[in-house]
Amino acid sequence: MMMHQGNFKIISNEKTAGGCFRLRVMAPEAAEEARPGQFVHLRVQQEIDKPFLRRPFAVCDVKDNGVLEILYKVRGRGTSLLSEKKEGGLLDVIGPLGNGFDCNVEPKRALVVAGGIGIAPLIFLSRKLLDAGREVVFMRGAVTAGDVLCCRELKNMKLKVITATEDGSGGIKSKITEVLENYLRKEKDKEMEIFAAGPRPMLRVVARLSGEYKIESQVSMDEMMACGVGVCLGCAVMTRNGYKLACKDGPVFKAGDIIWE
Amino acid sequence: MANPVMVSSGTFGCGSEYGDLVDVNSLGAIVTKTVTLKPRSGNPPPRIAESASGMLNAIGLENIGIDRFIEEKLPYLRSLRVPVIISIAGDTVEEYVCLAERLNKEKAAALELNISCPNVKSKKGRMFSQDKEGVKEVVSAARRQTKATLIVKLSPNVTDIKEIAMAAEEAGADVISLVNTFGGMLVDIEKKVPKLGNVTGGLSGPAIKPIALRMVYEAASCVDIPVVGQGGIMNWEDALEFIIVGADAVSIGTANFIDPRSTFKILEGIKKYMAAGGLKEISRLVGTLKISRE
Repeated sequence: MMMHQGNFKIISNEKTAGGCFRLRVMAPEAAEEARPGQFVHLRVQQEIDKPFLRRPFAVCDVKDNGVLEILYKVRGRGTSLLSEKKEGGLLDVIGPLGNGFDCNVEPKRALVVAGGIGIAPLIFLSRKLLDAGREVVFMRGAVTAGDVLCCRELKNMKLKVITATEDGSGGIKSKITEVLENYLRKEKDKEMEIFAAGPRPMLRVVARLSGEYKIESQVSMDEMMACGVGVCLGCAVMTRNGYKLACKDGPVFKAGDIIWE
Repeated sequence: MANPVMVSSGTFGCGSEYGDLVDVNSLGAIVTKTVTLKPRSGNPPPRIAESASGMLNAIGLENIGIDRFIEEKLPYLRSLRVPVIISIAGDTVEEYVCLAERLNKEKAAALELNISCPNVKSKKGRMFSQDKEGVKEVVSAARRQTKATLIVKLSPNVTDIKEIAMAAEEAGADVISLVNTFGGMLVDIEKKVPKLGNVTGGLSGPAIKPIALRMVYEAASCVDIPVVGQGGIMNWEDALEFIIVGADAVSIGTANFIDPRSTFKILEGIKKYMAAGGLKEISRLVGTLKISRE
């Protein structure tokens, strides 16, 4: 698998729910080679002031026509500048990068757990899991109903969706990790596997639950990065086998390998 | 060296990592990630933070150690057609000597003594490059051990770079390279914690360029050996500034992270500038700074 760098054409950059944007670029080689859980490293501006470094974004989906899609939440200056990009403009992209989800495990029921914007890589993942004939239960957590993401994408897929919001304004009033725990308790006789992406505290609970219920789980770690290709050694994640790099060894790790302290 | 644009230690791995994106053989030279005698696991995360026009890092010299380096990395490096400079660091003078000896046996053509990493503590509690006695001690010991080209990487965290540069030259350095990163820190005001796990780190990127340039200017004016200039070079104009103040070559570091093809764009820019000025050799440009004193 190769990484590519290029100035790719922006097909669209549309606002979606919860202060998020969906950006599509025409990047045929990168789109063809990308695997669920991998990311692209974007240079959001050419000036040398802030943001100085590139920004990593999970590949949210790819299309057969060479379109690569990312979903991002406007949080700081980098994402704010990205949200101002116009259709037809060019975007400097390096990718696909990183080690994504391992989808080739036995055909167990897949529990896909998304916290907030962590949903991005899980759309691509779910599509691939369904293509492989896997049964998918998609658990999606958000703070409030307005932040619930990817409704249209999920509606078009044959999977069971459970939505939870912390304030109860949409779906079940619950934390998504509580939804997962209840599910595991109820279905504990079934063969299952967890795939999760979201804030670190959420992933930590997923790791604990996967240990308690003896279920394999893969989590996507979101770390500050500089190079994105494994040379700066900046995105270290402590694991049972010492420091690993989120950009190269990850961003997807087995939850049980991560040392969460 | 076929051209004066090289890559700095710690920003290009051991050469192969950027292989998909850049033709490594068109670089002037590669300086590898620093290798130490024993493997080092590095500093606790977060290891990097971003600031205006710069990046703060405290990696802590994470590396696989000299044994695995020789076994796993050296064969690829030997296959390259560009000069390879192996960066080494030790906690003690003896460790530098031991590393030089090991690499001597491997017939390494060039070594860079990293005596200026701000994120690890040597046994004496500071960097060797922070006083001239430290510089003399480590450089002369390594000099006795190896005939390889010896490049000494200097720290900008000193009072007078000139005396440090001269100490390196006197002790037998073939080349000096400067600057390494500037000690710095950043704080998360919500949590009131440092943004780096190591509390402090080293600042690189365009934020440091004018200071690096001044130090290269000062160092180049007082030594006769070649000088590699570096510190925040992002484009060919930056590179030329370093050459004009006296750098014989330039090294590109953090810019590789922003654009892995920076080195090639910089080299192209230098070539065009030289062609426009009718210059055939880069050496004709080195130290051509004009200063009028009334």
